Amino acid sequence: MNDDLPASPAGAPAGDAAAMDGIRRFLGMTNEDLWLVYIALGGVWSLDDFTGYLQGTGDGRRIANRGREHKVLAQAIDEQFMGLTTLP
Amino acid sequence: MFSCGPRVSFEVGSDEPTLEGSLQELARVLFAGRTAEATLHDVADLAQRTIPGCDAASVTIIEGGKPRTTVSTAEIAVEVDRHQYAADEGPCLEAVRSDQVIRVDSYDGESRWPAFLPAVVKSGVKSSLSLPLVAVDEAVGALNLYSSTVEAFVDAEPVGIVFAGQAAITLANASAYHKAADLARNLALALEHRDIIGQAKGILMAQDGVSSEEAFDILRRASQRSNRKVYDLAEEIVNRNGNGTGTGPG
Repeated sequence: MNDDLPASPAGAPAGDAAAMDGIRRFLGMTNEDLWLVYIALGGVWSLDDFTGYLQGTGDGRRIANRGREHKVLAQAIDEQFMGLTTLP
Repeated sequence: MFSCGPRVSFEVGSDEPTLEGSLQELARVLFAGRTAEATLHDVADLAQRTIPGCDAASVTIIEGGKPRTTVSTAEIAVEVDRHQYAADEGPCLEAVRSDQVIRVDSYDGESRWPAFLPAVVKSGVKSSLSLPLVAVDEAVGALNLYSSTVEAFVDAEPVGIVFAGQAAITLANASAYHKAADLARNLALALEHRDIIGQAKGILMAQDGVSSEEAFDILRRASQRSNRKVYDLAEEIVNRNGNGTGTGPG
């Protein structure tokens, strides 16, 4: 594994949207890229809500099950990180 | 023997029926719903037919940092473009890199692009006009006009800019279309993955008596333990269940 990479992206502080977004940018992903993985994992936010959450501008009260969504988002980031670091 | 200046805006008068007719045809091209390549070819073809003295036209686009002739009206344009790419210099590439219109009135007296000049002189092309195609403030290609006569494009820059603008719009639209199409394809794939993951969660919920969220947590933890993607684990669970050979995520 590249020493420059974070050891565990999903190990970022729970609910820390800024850390999530930092990892997204570190991975070179757009919000749409990450959102697609999140959708595949069962996430239910719209792209706008998703982007708002990552940017810390979304209205968290609109999200019914934020803890679950955080797990799905963390897993989405892990999946991308896995693809980046796993040998073909 | 050549000029080089910033792109300028201008208005086309209505007293030139040939040009006006071409612009009307251009407007139809824009909304014809055809492929980007077909549209670009129409733009190049119209430019050649509209601009007096123009014998060949081509459109260069930059893909992955490399130039490529995507359409042309005559083989000579492809040939001259190819020589520029091989020499990594010439009016087309300079138009792209400098975001400026590059006009060459006579290659016989030209001194720039020494690696490219012998080939273009040998080709018989005497003058050229290269116009950058600008999308989102960045030159993404060039419209190239070539002539077998000298000083063919002395008065052609304003008209050429109109055609270049049309080609740039076509490229920008094509880029937006492909981006949207890619997103749609990827979203369909994402939804397909979600369906498989949902099936696996359903199996875990039924067999382990857990909630939907707990089922996802089981998959998530298994993914992190095994360094495998949730989708791969879910597919395995679904396949195993279909074969009646157990359900655990490993």
